[in-house]
Amino acid sequence: MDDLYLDSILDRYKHPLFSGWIEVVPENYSLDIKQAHNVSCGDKFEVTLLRKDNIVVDAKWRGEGCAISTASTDLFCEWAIGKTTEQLHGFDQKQIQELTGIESITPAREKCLYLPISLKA
Amino acid sequence: MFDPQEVRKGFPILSISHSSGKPLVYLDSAATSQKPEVVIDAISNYYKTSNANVHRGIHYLGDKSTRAWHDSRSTIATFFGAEPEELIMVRNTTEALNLVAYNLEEKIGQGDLILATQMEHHSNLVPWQELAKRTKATLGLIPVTEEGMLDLDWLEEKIRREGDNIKILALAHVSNTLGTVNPISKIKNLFKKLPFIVVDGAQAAPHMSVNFHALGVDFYAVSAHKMLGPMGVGGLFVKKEILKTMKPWLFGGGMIDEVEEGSATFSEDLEDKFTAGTPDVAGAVGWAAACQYLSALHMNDVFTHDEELIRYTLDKLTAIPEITVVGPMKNRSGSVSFLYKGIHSHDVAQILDSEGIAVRSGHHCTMPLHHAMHWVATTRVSFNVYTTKADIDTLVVALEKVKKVFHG
Repeated sequence: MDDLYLDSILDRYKHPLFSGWIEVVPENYSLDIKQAHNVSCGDKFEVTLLRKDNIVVDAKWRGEGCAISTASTDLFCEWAIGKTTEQLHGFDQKQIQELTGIESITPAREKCLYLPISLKA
Repeated sequence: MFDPQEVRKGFPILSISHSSGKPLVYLDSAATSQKPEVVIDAISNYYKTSNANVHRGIHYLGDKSTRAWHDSRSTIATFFGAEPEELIMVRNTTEALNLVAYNLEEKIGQGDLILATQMEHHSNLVPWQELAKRTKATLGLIPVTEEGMLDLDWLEEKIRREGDNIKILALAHVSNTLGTVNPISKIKNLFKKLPFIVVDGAQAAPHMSVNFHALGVDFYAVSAHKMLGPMGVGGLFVKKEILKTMKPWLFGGGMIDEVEEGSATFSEDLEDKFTAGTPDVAGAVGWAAACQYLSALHMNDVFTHDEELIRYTLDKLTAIPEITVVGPMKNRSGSVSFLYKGIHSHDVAQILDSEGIAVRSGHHCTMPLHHAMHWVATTRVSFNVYTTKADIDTLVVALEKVKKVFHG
């Protein structure tokens, strides 16, 4: 299970690249706020997605969770930038596995790893 | 006094290895206890030698099974200082508490007050929330102090102001998160006129001698699986005079007197009245074996063993700067929960698992308590008779690894 805490995951968790909150929305841009909770874990994340012409141009998150859900959310933000809304809807478990490098996870931690899936809609 | 190292030998599962090849250290007994071989054998033997449906079969196995059912009920009730007919067999503590909530429905109404506590397991909270909704009664929660005790000053004031309206008091004997042992007698003495007192005994029963009559409460709910017995069987002890007036809540075979096409009358026998359908006889047999096993260890020694483990764990964990133990420093039982600075409890648990150690992480079904205390989640280590100080030492070493992984 040490495999879960890959250096890349721990690094993302300790030094996330997309933590923050987008507040300024320039003209012709739109801002979406998405939320994802794992009530049973106490994980709680919110993401701001800034779009122009249906394309995500910036993404930032705030919230609190375990190392896995935090790293996964940060990687989601990175991935989302440059994607259309339609592409965003295609975000799935397989995509998360590719982004995180975690190919299998125990049932108890699935909710942590796959938390960003509920941020896409 | 028993030697927990010797006790361990009687629990087959404790000798298996973790997937990493490391020895298994099971510190999640408050979620469910492991089972001694005598309990496993009792269940297995019942099916091998006595299985038949109870009461109705006028044949050799039917008699044997019925006797096993009655003997088991008697052993369990005696273990809890109750009469066999005061015991309603259910699936678990949750079902027992729901049973009480449904049965008290006709005794309360608008303007009445149901009191539970902020430290309750969801199983002793949500049934009361639902009852309050159905009856338009009000649900109040006794707050928990910073130290992790029930705020009895608050309760005293509540009784002074609204004592006449308090119809039900529902509380845990031992908190599954804080470990707090609630002073039931002291709390009872605060009331001039006693409400129905409903106690969740799930976390007390494995660690201390519980005498239902001496405790003097109306309802006491327990689960077999927390106290070395099997999953899927539990009990509700009900004061006899209340039981006599209680209506059955499950209807069907076994609990009836006479059935006609349009209606039925119900058994006057208190045991039959609340045993609808085929009971879990093997579960009862296993639970009785667990009671006998604990009695042979002596519950006073079981209590002392738990006290020593608590003290040892508190000493070890409070010496770690990153750790904040939650709950009181005395009068606690069964478990120690803690916060690890800057690390989510799921991450703590995952690293501990990689060292072969099983702990609980999350909110332990006490979300309102976690919210009130502003804890995202906690990590809980919990004990039973097979837990040793060496287990705690292994935990302490593994916590060093948690630090290394996350803080470098």
